[in-house]
Amino acid sequence: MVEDAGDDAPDATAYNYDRFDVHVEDGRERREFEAFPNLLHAGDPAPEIDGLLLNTGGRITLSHIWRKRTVVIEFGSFT
Amino acid sequence: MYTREAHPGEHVGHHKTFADKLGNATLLRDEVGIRRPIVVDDLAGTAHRAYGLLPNMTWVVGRGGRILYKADWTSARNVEAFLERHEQGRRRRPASGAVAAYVTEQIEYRDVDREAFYDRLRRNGPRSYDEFKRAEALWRGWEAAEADREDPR
Repeated sequence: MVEDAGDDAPDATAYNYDRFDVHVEDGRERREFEAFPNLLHAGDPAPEIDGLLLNTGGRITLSHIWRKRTVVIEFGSFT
Repeated sequence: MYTREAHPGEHVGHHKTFADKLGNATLLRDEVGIRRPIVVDDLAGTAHRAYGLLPNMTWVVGRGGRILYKADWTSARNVEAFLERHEQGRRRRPASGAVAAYVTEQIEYRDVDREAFYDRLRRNGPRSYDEFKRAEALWRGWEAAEADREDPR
């Protein structure tokens, strides 16, 4: 199994909420949508991403890709 | 970029460990049939936080690492149209001389199939659907309260 240092990160429990309605009720969902327009803009340097490539299990950085080509990044989950 | 689960339920739960996250990312790839490379964020959502925490946003980053496109939701049709327009614009050589980049901000529209979305929530587990319906009631209540504040008559 691939390990990840994030397992012990203190913010991981709040980030990975269990109940969507509670996430909405406590205002976090609203604050996230309200913050988005003021976060990063076209023309800004893109934040680096260091993630695990699912198909190989290896690490990959976004800068490794954007040095060669334009990158489309869609964020999402199963649910 | 695989993030946290947006609408966890009894069948597909939230992530308690990175192994959970890898398992659900594999489910996404295999059950939904995603052929694009999937990059899995860490358990604390470091990359997701850096780009804004929304559940289905799309960003386009150009060669050299400059942000070219920012959208709070994903429309494949719109992303494709942008990429074509951007590439054509960048390569154009008008008789007047060169081209210059400029920034726009727009409201766009995407297709919504509410019944299909509800079906996917039920697939996640019954409570996923119930929790979303409760969230809808909360949103409606807040909108009504806001309308009352703006026009108390």
